[in-house]
Amino acid sequence: MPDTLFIRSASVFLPESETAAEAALEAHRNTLSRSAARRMSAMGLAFDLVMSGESPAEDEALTLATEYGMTRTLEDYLVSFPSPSPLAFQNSIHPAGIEQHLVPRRLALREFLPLAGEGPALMAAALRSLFLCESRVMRLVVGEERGTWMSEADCGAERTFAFRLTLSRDEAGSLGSISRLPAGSAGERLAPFDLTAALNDRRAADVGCDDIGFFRITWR
Amino acid sequence: MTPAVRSPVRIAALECLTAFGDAAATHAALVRGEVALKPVPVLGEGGGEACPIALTAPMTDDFPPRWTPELARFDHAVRSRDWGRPRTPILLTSSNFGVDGLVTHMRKGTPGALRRGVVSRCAADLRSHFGWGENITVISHACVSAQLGLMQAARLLAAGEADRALVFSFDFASAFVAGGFHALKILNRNFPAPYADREYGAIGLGDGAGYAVLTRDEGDFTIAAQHCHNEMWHFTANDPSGEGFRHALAAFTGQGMPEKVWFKGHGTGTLEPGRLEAQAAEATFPQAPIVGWKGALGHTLGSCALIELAVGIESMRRGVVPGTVGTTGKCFSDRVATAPFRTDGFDGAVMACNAFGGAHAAMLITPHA
Repeated sequence: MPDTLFIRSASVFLPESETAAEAALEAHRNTLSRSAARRMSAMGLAFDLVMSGESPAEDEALTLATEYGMTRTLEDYLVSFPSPSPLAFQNSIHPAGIEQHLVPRRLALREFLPLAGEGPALMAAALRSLFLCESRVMRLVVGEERGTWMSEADCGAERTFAFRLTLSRDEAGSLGSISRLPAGSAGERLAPFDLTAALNDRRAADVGCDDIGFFRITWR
Repeated sequence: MTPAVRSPVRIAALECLTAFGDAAATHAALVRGEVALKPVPVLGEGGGEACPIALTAPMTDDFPPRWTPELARFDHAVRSRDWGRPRTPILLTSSNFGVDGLVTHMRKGTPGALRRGVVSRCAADLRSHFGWGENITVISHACVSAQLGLMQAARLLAAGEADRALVFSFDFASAFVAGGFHALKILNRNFPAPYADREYGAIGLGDGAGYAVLTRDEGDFTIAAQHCHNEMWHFTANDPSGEGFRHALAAFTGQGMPEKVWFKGHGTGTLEPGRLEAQAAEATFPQAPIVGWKGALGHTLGSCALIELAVGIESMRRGVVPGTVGTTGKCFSDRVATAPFRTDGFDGAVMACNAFGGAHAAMLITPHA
C-alpha cells in the first residue's frame, strides 16, 4: 500500500448558497439532451459537473461517498406511493447519483466502491479506500443533494455540493498530495461539506478520525 | 482480461439468517427442495398485489423495525467494543439499510422511524447498539454490497491494516423496496425459476442478514480470489452481448485457479440476466454445475453474497450442494443443476452476484489446505 497519492486534478462544486446551486444545476441541465436531463437528479447534475472532462478507463478506480445519498429523490419516490414510481425507485438507490454520469457514457469500471456513513469516518474510510485499490489512477467523488422536509428534519443534507479528486501514484505534474499519517496522529474531523470547503480553498489539512487514521492533504 | 484480486483470506466465523433460519437450517431446507417464498401484499400494510417474498416476520410498519430483534441474534458474535478499532475494521454493507423507516414515517409518523431510514443515521444507530468504534466502512452498492465488503476486508488484511475484519450485512424486505421492484415489473405474482427458459421472468425478495469474520490465519475455508466489474451499460440491464458476465468470470480461470469448481450464480429469476449468466458460466467453467438459490430464499439484495457464502460453506462442510430450487424444465444451460449434488471431486466454488448498473462481483472459495 502506498504512503502517498498525488492529486492530478480536482473539481469542486460549492456555490455560495443553495439558490445559486439550484441555478447552476438548472443551467447545466439545459445543456443536456432531453432524455438525459429527465433522469438527472440534483446530485447527478452536481456529479456530472465535477466529472466534466474526465474519462475514466476501465482499470481506474472510483470511490463514491455521500452521507445522505439521494435525499431529494427519496422524497420524490415516497410521494409516489401508493403507486411507486419506477424511475424514482431506480434513482433513489445508492449509488444512482454517479451512475447518472457514468451510464450514459458507458464508462465501464473495474473498481467502483460506493460508500455512505457518518461524516468524518466516512471521509476517512473513503480516503483509505484509495490507498487500498490496485489501480494506477483513482478518483474520489463526494457530494450531497439538499432535500426539503427530510433536510428540515435533520435527515438530509443542508446544502447541495460535490467534489472530485483524481489521484495517481505518479508525482509528475501533480497539484498536491494525500499522505497517510502514522498511527496515533491527530487532525481535523471533517464531514463531507467541510472537506469540500477545504478543497475549494486549496487549504492544507490533516483529515480523518482516530479509529481509521488521518490523511495529510497538501497543495503545491 | 482483468485479473482477479488475489488477497486470500480465511473465514474464521460465518453465520447467516434467512426465512428458513441460520445457515444450517437454510442449507437443510434447500437440500429438501423447500421454498420459503410466499405470496405477500407488495406494499405490506398498504396492500397491493401478492408477490413472492420470503420473510422472517410479517412485513409491518412497526418501529423499532422488525429487523432489530433479528440482528440481535448476532449479538453474541458482533456486539463488542473491540470491533471498529484501528486493527479491527468493520465493513457494514446493505443495499437498503433501514429504508423501511421512511415508509413507516410517511404512513404513521412514528418518531425515530425517519432517522432510521437514512443510511448514515441507521449506521450510527447500529454502531451505538453494538458498541462499535468508528473504523467502519459503510458500503452500499445494491446487490453486490456484501461482496464489496468481503473484498475490502481482504484488502485491509492483505495490506496489514487489520488483524481481523468483520463483514456485516443485512437487507430486509419492505414496502419501499418491494413496491419499487413491483413498479419495475420484475417482482410480480409469478414465482421465480432461476435459469429456466420460460416465457416470463420474475424475482422473489427475501430477508437476509449475516456476518463473516475474516483473518489471515484462522478458519477452514479461504476466499482465495475476488473480482468485480461494472458494465455501466444501462441503469438496470446488462450489455446484451454478455461481455460483462464473461469478463467477470474469466478472472477465475488460468494459472493458479482450480480446474474443477461448482458455480453458484446470482440467478434471481429474470430472463435476460439469467440467460447471459448461465451461458457465461458454462463457457468459462465447462465442467461446473450451475446453481442459484434465490428461487427458494428470494433475493436478499445487498446481503446476498454473504448469505449465499454461508450456505455455500455449509454445503462444503456437509458434502452436499443444494440444487436450483424452484426451477424445473428446460434451462438456459444443460449445466444448471436442479437437484442436490455431492461436492466430492470439486476443488472449490465460484460464487457470483450482480447488481443495477451492470455490476458484477464474484469470489473463489476453497477449503484451506
